[in-house]
Amino acid sequence: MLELGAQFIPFEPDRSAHDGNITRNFFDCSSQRICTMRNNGALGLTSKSLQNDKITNVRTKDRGEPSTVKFSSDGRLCAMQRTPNTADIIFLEKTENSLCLELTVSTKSKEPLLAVEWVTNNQLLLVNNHSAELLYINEDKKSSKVIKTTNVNAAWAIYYAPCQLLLIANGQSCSNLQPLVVAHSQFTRMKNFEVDFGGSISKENFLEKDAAIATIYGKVYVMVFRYSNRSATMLDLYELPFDATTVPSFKHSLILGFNGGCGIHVIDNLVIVHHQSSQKSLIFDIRVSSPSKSHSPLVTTTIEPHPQHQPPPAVYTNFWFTFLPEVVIDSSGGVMYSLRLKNEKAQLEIAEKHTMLEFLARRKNEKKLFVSTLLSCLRARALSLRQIRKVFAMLSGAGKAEKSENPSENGTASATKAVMSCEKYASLTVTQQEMQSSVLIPLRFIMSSFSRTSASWNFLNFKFQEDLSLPESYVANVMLQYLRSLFDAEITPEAYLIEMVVETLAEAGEMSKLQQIVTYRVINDSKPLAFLLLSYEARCATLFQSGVDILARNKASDEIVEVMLEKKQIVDAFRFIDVRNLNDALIPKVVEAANHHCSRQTRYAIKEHLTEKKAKGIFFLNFKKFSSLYKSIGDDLYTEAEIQEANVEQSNCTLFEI
Amino acid sequence: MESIANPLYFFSNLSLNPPSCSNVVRFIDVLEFFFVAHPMSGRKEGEEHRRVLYFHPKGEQFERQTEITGFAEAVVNFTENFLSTSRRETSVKLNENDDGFDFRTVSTQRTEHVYIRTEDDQFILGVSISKQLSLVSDYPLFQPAIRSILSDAYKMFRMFFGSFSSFLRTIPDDIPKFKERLDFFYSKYIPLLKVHKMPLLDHLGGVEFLRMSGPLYLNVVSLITELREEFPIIEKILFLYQDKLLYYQLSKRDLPSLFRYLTHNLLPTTLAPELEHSGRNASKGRYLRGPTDLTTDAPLLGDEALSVVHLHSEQESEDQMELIGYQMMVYRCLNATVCMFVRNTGEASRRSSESSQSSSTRSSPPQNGVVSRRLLRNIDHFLETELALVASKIGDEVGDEKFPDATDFHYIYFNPSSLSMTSSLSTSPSLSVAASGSGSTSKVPLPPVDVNRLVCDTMSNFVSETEEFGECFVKSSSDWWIVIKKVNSRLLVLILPPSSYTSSLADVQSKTATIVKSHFEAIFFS
Repeated sequence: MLELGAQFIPFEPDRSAHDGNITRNFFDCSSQRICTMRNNGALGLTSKSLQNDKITNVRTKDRGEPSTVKFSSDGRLCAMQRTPNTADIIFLEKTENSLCLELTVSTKSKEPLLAVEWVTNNQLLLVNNHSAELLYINEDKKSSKVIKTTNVNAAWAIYYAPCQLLLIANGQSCSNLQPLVVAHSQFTRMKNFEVDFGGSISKENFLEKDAAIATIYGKVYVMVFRYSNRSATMLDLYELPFDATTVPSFKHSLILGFNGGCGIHVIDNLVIVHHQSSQKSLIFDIRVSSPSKSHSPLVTTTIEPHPQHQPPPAVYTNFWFTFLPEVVIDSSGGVMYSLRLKNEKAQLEIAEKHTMLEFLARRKNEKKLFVSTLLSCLRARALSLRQIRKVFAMLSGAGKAEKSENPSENGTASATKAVMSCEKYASLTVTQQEMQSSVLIPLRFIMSSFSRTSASWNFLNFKFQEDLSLPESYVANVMLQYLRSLFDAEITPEAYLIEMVVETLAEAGEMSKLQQIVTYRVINDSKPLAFLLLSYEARCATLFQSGVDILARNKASDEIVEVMLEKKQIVDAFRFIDVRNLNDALIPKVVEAANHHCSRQTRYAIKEHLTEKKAKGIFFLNFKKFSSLYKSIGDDLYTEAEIQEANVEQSNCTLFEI
Repeated sequence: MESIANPLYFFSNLSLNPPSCSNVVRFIDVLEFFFVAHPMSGRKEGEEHRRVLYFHPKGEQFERQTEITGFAEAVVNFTENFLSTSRRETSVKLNENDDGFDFRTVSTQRTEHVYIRTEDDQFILGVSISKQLSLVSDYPLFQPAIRSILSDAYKMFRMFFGSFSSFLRTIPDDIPKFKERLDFFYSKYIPLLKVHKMPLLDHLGGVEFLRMSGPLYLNVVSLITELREEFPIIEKILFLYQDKLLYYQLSKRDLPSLFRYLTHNLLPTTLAPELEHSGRNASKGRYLRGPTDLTTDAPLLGDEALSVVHLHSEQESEDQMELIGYQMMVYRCLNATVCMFVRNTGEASRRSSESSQSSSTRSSPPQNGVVSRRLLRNIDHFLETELALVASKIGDEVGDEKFPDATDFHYIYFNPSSLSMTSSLSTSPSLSVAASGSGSTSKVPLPPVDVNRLVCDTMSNFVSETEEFGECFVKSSSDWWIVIKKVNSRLLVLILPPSSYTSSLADVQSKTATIVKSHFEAIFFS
């Protein structure tokens, strides 16, 4: 699942040649640049980074071998520590005799420096045992000025550039950590905290190399290796709060299960620990639910080189140096690589489908992969409905949860001001349209591909020859679960989704279920839906009722009249028109239907009714039209023969009376 | 006896006397006689009394029993001659549609008789109501209601013991066994049967659904679907909250009987222990009936055996009368009740072997049912959390819902296609009062007996059973108004007490329109 070197950049490896030329390489964690110095800069200083192609190539004076090299983020300045007590600023873009200009700075007390870091493009942070100082570097005047000083007690210090966070270790055995935020030309002290590093007689002090800082799922963690004589090493995660009043707390513990040299990467919110001797990499996802704070590795895998490297480089060698977040430097080969997650392999590596889907959903920019994996899981029926519900809830509810989280965050912020900020974690949201077009509709196609083996579906590229036994009821249940997730997240489902649910239920023959769902108005009212339900009347009589109800709720009186006429409820249609005072334009239709279907008595009654209405002057209809209508119902009430017969009978009667 | 004691525990705890002011009447108070007869058994001269399988009252003389059943048979056979073929066809059709029975009624000066024929006209069930007694008890006689009561009595027996003919299909000397069962069942059923003073309610025989919002309802549906996916062995399912139905997956033909049994018999008996234990472990679900100890794997025997009910297969089209035995599990948690039905394989094997050999298995309890403690345990485990979650959500919503403002009228609403029925004249007094404390939501007094009678008469005389639409306004001599509306086969009966607002027909019409608008808004009642 891990791939080495999709991005890479070669550099000149360290060497001490016999001709006296020395090459040394330095990696600057903050700016993520590798810096190659030949003869301490006299023969050249080259810096490269994986992120951009800009290569700096300058020459400096040879003033001894530096111990650290740091670049400002705009790449114009470089800080170099050549002596323990001072740092030299190299102005990379100001040269004299093709050599860069320099400026030497130091702390007031001139004590040995523990850290030299660029906070901004022109602010340099210097830390020694007793103080941390912020210097302003004026590039034009080539001068420096102390902006801020604070007293600290430091055994060692590490700086985390993304959050402008300085972590200082002090106390006995150096296990008391003091975080400081360096922002707005200010030092802000946060609550200090004690870490457990498994100290013992053989290992008295907590060391700089056993600590690291990373941002995981929108929270900043200090990662600490905890060694133990009895059990294997653990990696403990302490969460740093954003405000200055909360004490950082122990949150997670990753079970490494081995001892010995290892390297850490944090890629896409996953903690990856490489173990050199076993040549394995453990991938941890702290979001995978765990009954306790301990996490076992989600995936154990081996790094594979990207195919573009031929021959493939050796992995997990002694020459490897790993740097957060994702940098691997092969010092012997002289290549800086980036490490990449191959999420598409997750299906093979994570057996439990539900965990795997959640894992994919949490990855950055993997929506396409997630959606297609979800579809294939559903097709294979690899998830139980309960798990499907949870996955859907995650997708639909994600946006809402975020929203509900943010106000509370703001709420605490108003009480206790946030002094630190970090990259926010945005959880995956899949919109209804995306869900429909890439999961639900394909599912329906698969379901119906049995009955409708139309070639027109082939454009969807499904392998139809696979096992296709996907029952309709399963698809319907999946859709209902999705619908539920939308309701739970208080998202209004789209009409199209509702129609699809209804159709699928009907196709699954779950008429009883459909009827109950419709009766309880799980689905929103819409006219097309009403007509859809009406069309199912033959299969489930109650749905007809529900359909008419929806029409009534939508005040679709005209349609109701039509439906009634269709059902030959002519008199009731008439009554309905009267009660609702509907448009007279409907009356001709009713009359026409009456002529076709009604008995003579009914037609007579209707005629009388119309006459009465006319007498009352209720009609607004144009009179001509009405008279023709009136004629149409009156005219063929009796046939000529009948009238004649009646006349004969009447004359007979009168005759008889006489 | 031990074998059949199982399904019948339900008649135990109920009080025998209905409250004096209630709107129900004990059936026994108006009943003259009730019988089950099998005419084929009494064909031989001198052995006519053999056709009597069950007779109430028990003390009645043999001769009279024979006479009454003979009369019934005679009436049935005699009137058969006058049934036109078309009528016969429609009656057959009726049978197919809603399990209706061929029936005869005889009205005498003193009594009202109803006979129904069941199972290919092999059996006659008869009932006679005394006009005198019904007058005393304020019970309006409504012949269709009596017919429904009689059919219900038959269906209830059939639900627990299977069809009558399944007893006779076996060797003849099983008849004493059959008689014993009938006696066992009906001598408890009849005395405890209560009928409503508004006979229309008994006649319609619907079930009451709980009103609920759509999104929450979907939770119920998905819970049931998940349960069925997890336990495919469960074939039919019923979900109740308090005494109202929410969701069902079984044949509609079984729904009224089953619902009636659950709400009238099974659930009330469990209410008392629930109230006692309220407080501790309130949200913990449990099984009603069946074993209490689920930790062992001992077979389910004797008292711990689950009851078996005979239900129709769900495919309405295939084999109409086929009844299949199901073991019933009832799980209850926070007022929500889930009834699960698992096909009784013991029953099935018995049925398959039935044709070849006698089935003595009937007498032995269904020990070989598929439901084991393990299954019960697993289901318990599954439902424990989810059901409590859904039930408490429902509880929140039902609790939040304001009780509808006390109405100033009485109503009966019935939808024959969904069997949904609600009425302000509560149908299950035993539970609703105790469970919800709502009692009657109407502030008007119960309508007097003459109004009830008038409602029934209006129904039978002015409202056609087959028409889907209809409307009727009636004013009683005591100034009550009765409005019957039938729209799209739904029935709405409004009973308006005398008041100054309802002096004219126009007033009543506008009042009706207001009621429909305010209380039945979601439904199409033009």
